[in-house]
Formats: sequence, C-alpha cells, structure tokens
Amino acid sequence: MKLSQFSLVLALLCLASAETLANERVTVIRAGTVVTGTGETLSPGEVVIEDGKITLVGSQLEIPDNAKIIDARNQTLMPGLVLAKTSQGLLGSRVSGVSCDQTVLNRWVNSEMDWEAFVEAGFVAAAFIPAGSGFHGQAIVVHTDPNAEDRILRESVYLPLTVTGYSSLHRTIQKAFDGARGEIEKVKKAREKWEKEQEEAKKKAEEEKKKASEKDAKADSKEEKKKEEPKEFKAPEIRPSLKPLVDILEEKSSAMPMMVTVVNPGAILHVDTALADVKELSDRDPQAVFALPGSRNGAFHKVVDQLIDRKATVLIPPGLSALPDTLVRYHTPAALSRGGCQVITLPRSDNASGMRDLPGYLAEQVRYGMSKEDAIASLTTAPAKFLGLEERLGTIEEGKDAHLILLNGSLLDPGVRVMKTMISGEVVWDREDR
Amino acid sequence: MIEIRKLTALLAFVIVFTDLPVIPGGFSLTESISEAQDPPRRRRGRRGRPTPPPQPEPEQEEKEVVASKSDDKYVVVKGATIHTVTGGTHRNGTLICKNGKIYQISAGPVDAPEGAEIIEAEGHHVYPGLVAFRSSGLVGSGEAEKSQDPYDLDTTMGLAAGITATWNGSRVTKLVHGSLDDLTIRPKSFSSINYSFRNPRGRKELRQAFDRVQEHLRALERHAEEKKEDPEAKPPEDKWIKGIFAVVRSLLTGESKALVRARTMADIREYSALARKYGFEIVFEGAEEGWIDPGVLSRTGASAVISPRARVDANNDLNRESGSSIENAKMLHDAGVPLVIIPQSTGIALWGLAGRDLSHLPLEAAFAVRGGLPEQVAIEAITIEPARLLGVADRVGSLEVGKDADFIITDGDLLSYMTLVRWAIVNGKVQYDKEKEGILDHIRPDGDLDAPPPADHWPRRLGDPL
Repeated sequence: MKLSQFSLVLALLCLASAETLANERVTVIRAGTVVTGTGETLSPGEVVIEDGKITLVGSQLEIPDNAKIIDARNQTLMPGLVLAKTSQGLLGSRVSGVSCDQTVLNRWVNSEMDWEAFVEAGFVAAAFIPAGSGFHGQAIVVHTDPNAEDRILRESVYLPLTVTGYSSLHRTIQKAFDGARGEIEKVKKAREKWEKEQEEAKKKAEEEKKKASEKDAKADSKEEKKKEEPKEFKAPEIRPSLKPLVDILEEKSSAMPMMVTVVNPGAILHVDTALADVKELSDRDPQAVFALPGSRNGAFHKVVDQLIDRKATVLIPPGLSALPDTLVRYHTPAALSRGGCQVITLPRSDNASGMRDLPGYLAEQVRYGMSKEDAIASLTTAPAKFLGLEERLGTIEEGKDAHLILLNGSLLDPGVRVMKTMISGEVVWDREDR
Repeated sequence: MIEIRKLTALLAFVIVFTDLPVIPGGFSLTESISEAQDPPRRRRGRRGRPTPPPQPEPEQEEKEVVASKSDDKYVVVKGATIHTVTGGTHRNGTLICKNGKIYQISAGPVDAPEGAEIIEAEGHHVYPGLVAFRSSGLVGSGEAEKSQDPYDLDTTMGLAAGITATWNGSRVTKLVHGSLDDLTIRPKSFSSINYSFRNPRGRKELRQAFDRVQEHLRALERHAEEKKEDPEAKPPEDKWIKGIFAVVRSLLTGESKALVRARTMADIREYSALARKYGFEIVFEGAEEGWIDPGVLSRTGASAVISPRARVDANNDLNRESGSSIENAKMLHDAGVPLVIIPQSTGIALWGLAGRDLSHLPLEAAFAVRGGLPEQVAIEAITIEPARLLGVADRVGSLEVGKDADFIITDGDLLSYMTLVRWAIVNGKVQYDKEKEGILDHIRPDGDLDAPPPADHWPRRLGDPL
C-alpha cells in the first residue's frame, strides 16, 4: 500500500510541481470544538492532516492556500470511536473448545459486511473475534472504511475465553493448558534428542578423525571440510490452536492477553481458581480483563471491589440495573470506573442499532456517576490502549492516524449525531450525502 | 424371642443414651444374643456406630490464651449460651476458634487473644452449624469447588436457615459465600437398591445377587486361609462383579450403606428383612409409617431420615394401623433408631414462604418435639446425627475442640419459631450476618422485639449502592 502510494506520488511528481502537490495532500479541518482526548479542548480548533496522519493540532493556524479545507465551524471534532469486541456479520458456525488459532478472516465477505453501520455510528476501528465459547479464537483489529481492501490494523490482539458453565470452564482451562504444556514438552524432547544426536555425531567425528590421523597423519585438511555441517535444530511445529497458550506459559512478550467473557460474578472466582490450578500460572497476577454482560449486571456488585483491587480492564455495555432480587438501582460501569477500573464501553447489542444508540447510553453512564472524561475515554483511548493501538488511535495528537469523527454537538449531548466520519483523513461517511 | 429382642434394643439404648461406662459383661451378653440369632456381619442399633471421641472437660476458670504466631487468626464468641450438642451447654460461655478450627470452649469468660475478631453475643445462643442431610441448589453439584456459584442467593438463604453443611448427592459440602476454598468435606455415597413389591422379578434378581456375592466373599475368606499354606493359591474370579453386583458387594463388605425410600410399614419390613438376612446397613428415607412397628427398624440397626411434618393418609382398606403420626419421631427414637430430620422439600423454595423447605430446618425438628421427641434429640437430628450418617462427624455436627469452626449464633432457642440466625460462621469466617444481608434484616432488627419494621422494608436492601 505504502509502496504503491509512493510510486503514485513519484509518477505525479513528474507531471506537476512539487509545491502544488504538497498543498493538495494537506487537509485542514476547521471545527467549532476539537475534543483531543488528551484533556485539552480547543474551540475553535484546527487539525491539519497530511498523508492520512495528523500533523498539527491548534487554533488560528496558518493554512496553505491550496489545502483542502473541511469547514465544520458549528461541529465538534473528536477521535473516532473504537469497538473493542464484536462478531457482527460473520459467517460460519460458532467456535468451541480450544481453538486459539481461529480468526474472522475466513468468516466474512468484505463486500457483504455492513461497514456503513460502523462509520455511521462513528466507529473507525473494531476488534473482531469469532463467536463461540471456550478459547474461541483471537482478535484482529480492522478499520472500518467501507471502500478499503486492506483494512487490518493489528493481528493477534487478544485471546477471548467465553465461559458458559463453571464445570466446563475448569475443563476447558485444564485441557487447554495441559495441551500447551504437552507442546512445550514436545519441543523440549525434540531438542534433547537433537543435542544427543549432535554429541554422538561429534564423538563419531572425533573418533573418525583419530582413526584417520592414525591411518594417515598426512591426510589432507581439505577432506575434513567436506564433513557435514552440524544440522540446525528444527523445532517440531507447535499446534497452531495451542500456540498462543504456549506463549502465555513461556511468558513471551508477544503473548496475547486473555479476555474472559462472563455472565455472572461467580465465574470471575472460578476463572481465578481454574487458572491458579495451572501450575505455571499460579503465582502470576490474577486475570484482569473481563467482558461483563449488559443486562442484569447488578449481580456484579459482589465482585466490583475485587475488580477494582486488581485494576481490571472491563468491557461492559452501559445501562442501569438493579441489585439482585431488589429494586435498588445500581450502575455497574459507573461503580467500576469510579473505583479506578479501566472501563471500555460496548454496544448493548452487537449490531447496527446497538452501535447507533450508544451515545445516549453513554450520557446515562455520566448521569449515574462516571466522569465525562472517562465516559468518552471508554470509547476512544481505553479501547485503543487495550487493543495495543494507543500510538495510532484514540486521541487527536500529532503523528496519530487521522481517524476522526465530526458530531453536531458533544458526544454526551442528547440526540447527538455523527455528521462525518474520516478514516486516514478521507471522509468515508457524510450525513449530508444521505 | 420377642422378650430377648426388646432386651437387646433396650440394652443398646441404655449403653448409648446414658453416659454410663460400658460394662463389658453386659456388652458381650447382647453380642452373644445377636450372634446366636443373626448372621455375623449384622450390626445392631446404635452400637455399630463409632463412639465419639472423649470430650475434653470445659475449662471452668479464666484461662489465659497464649497468643502464638501473629498470623494465627482467632475468632472469639463472648457471652453466649453455648450448646455443644455432644458435651453439654455452657451459659455465658466463650468459644474461641483458631485458623478455622475450634480451639477452646469455656464455661466462663476468657481473655481474647490479641488481634482476635470478637463477636459480642450476649443473650445469644451458639449451636453447631446445622447439617442438611440432603439438599438441592444450596451448593454446586459434584465437586463444588468446580461447580458452585459462589454468589448464589440460595447459599445465603441456607446460611440464614443455619445450615452450614449438606450432602449434594456425591459429596458433603460446606455452605460458603463468595469463596471457592475449603468447600468439600469429603465424598460420600450411598448404595441404592430396589426391592419393591411392584417388581417381583427384580426382587428375585436382587436376592440372587446377594447370594452370589456372599458366596464370593466366603470364597475370598477361604482363599485367604489357603494362601497361608499355599502362597500360589489362586483368588476367586471377580471380573463378573459390576453393576448391581458391585453395589451388593459394597453393601456386604460394609463400604456403603443402602439408602432407600420407604413410606409404608410393609416396605420397611421387606427392606429390613433383606438387610437382616444379608447383614448390611440400611437407611430409610421417609419412614412415615415407622411408628407402627419401630422395633423393626431398631432390630435391623437402621437409621431413619424423616420429615415429621410429612403426612400420609391412613389406608382405610387395611384392618390395621396405617398413615403418618405426629409421634413418629418420638416412637422411632424410643426404639433406639438414630434419627435425622429433614424437611420434605430439600431446596429453598418460594423464599421459604411455604415453610416446609430447607429455610425452616429447625422448625421441622421442632415439630418432632411437638410429637414428644426430647429437644436435645431433635437438635441432634439436625446436627450430629446427619454428620454421623454422612461420615463427617469428626469435622462438623457438634462443638468440640479440634472440629471445624462451623457454627451459628441465634437470637434465641434454636427450636423456637421466633428464632433467627444472627451470624453463621463457616471455617472460622462470618459467612452470614443478618444485619448485613438484606434477607431478614428488617425482622426484629438488632434483636429488638418491639422495633417497628423499617419504613423502606420493601424493597429489601442489599447494602447501599456505591
């Protein structure tokens, strides 16, 4: 992509003067308000985009004459929203058991995906996982430009584990890590065997050498060089469905974090005990990324303190619920956020309308005690950080990708709408065109 | 003959129910009578049970407790009436737990060790945690550590009823809220056999199975003898022992007891006859008509798991006694039958409104008292007796030094209809606190009988939202 862009630029250079071209590549958004996401709000503000990247953020900037200007003086510019977990529009059956290698790449038809729904709701990036239970695959993050061919932002992002029952959870975790341990053992044995072979070969060579020197002390040294080079150790292939778990056991830096989807608070304790039963994991930090259900999550008030203690990252749809068997209202996301958990907001239903309705619920989170900054971060910086893309997404800062949205007000205003969605500086969705 | 049987039962009863030292002569007399009448493996009445370990004398004087390591965790219950169930009752006693075990039971006040968690329980009563012989939904199935919902409301409801341990069908499990540690006490299984009138063929097959396995066991004994002389003697073939034969073998070797549901006296007689003939231990569930001839159960050495409030209409077609009786528990007890009491519904249903579920286990026992059962026996029937039957009497079921610190603190006499559990302690940790759980906190808050219910008592409150 980059290469082709570059060659295109080279070709154009031959035709036009460099100066004009440079100015044409520059896009400037003039917005009434710029919510940068770093704690700074500019009103009015300007953002300069060059080559799909943000190059300058400020107000009253000097703007080259030829730059393309998007005039949005009555609108709010903010970083595009990031969806941390979705399985929308995927084909094929649900994945179950231990299948860490599964991705969505063979589970969608790009042309048939409803990317419009994402950009209409202001989502510029989304982490896709195959639906299922157990270790049902790994997440990939894509951007949502409807017309793009190559949309992957990051692969092997996290490892979802979906809990259906306590007993099956214990079985799945045991089976998965027993399998991973078996793979490690396999490689170890192969290495031992190889080392043994090497030693034997060495001995043999030495013996032969001795013999040869006894036989003919004046033998050519060239002959020795002919000897076989020592074979490189070739590790046996680790089963792809277990590879990510092997990485976790071996504490590789590339190991994906696990993200556990639970439906009731008891599952969090069961995940802890099940992982503690895995010898290698018993003294690691407790599991700290959970996806909670959207409805009836008041039951989770029992584990809010525990989640806060471990500074957990919690993916949770917004919404007010009640303490179990009472009419006492309880807002789990707000309680978690105020306690210091990293809250990432998910749509209440994993479809177009769920995404479209999200801003209203976000306002509700603030109403029930989440700070405005945290509410907005729960759809921008928090998911970007969780997905390992904080260098590219989540805020409006110099050097970041120009995945931006223009709203007709603050994201927390009632009735707020996405007016324009930009991916890499290009407007991919415009309400005026509808 | 009948005289002798009565005498036997009486002797057995006297030996167990009085704290008299066992007279060897008397014991061997009963033994010889039973030997003469019955096959050798036969067990009688309460004598077959292991005698409980000797009770340590409660400390009378104020005694200093030596605080040893600082990481020891002490819980001290002060000023309560302590009902140990197996070792008497102490007014204004002190109960000290150390690291989840009962460390000391004193009849008077005792200085608490440093850093101890102190429960001021003046005017309250301490009982061992109740043991529900059976339950559904209170704890997870199978290995509870891998199946229980640690935040299940039914667990809390069970604790609110005073239950701290129960049998889930395969394991004796503690009721613990919000934790998955130390749940299972130990596995326990009963054998189930069907000797029903409705299935004559099945009855015959069962008898044949008993005969065949009995013959096999004798052959094994002979083999053991032979082996002394001829080390190469071959043991009898036992590959055929599976299915019903394995069940029968576990019964005949005493590895397990038979658990049968028998309501009518006719059923009880049939099963008892089978148990006496082959000499295995049997536990009757139900036994609503047991009062008609309780001697049958005591002669068989059977235990009974009964629901005193269960009702069976008399059968008017019969010209003899039938149906349930309020005196059932008393009469079985008088005959020397170990009693376990359990409500008819073994779950937590309708928020306990129906009153016949596990949230009212003590009331079920109280109903037996209404029919003449001594109070002490009624309490034993929901604590130490089920613990013995489930094989966990060394851990739970009574307050003894060294046993698990599983107990309840109630605001009155356990069998009173007014009494509610104030605290339930399991493994030395407070698992239920009436004033903190929003289940019964609005009823007589802080034990004040005259206090009006709080204005907002509906909806119930589960603590303030954050």
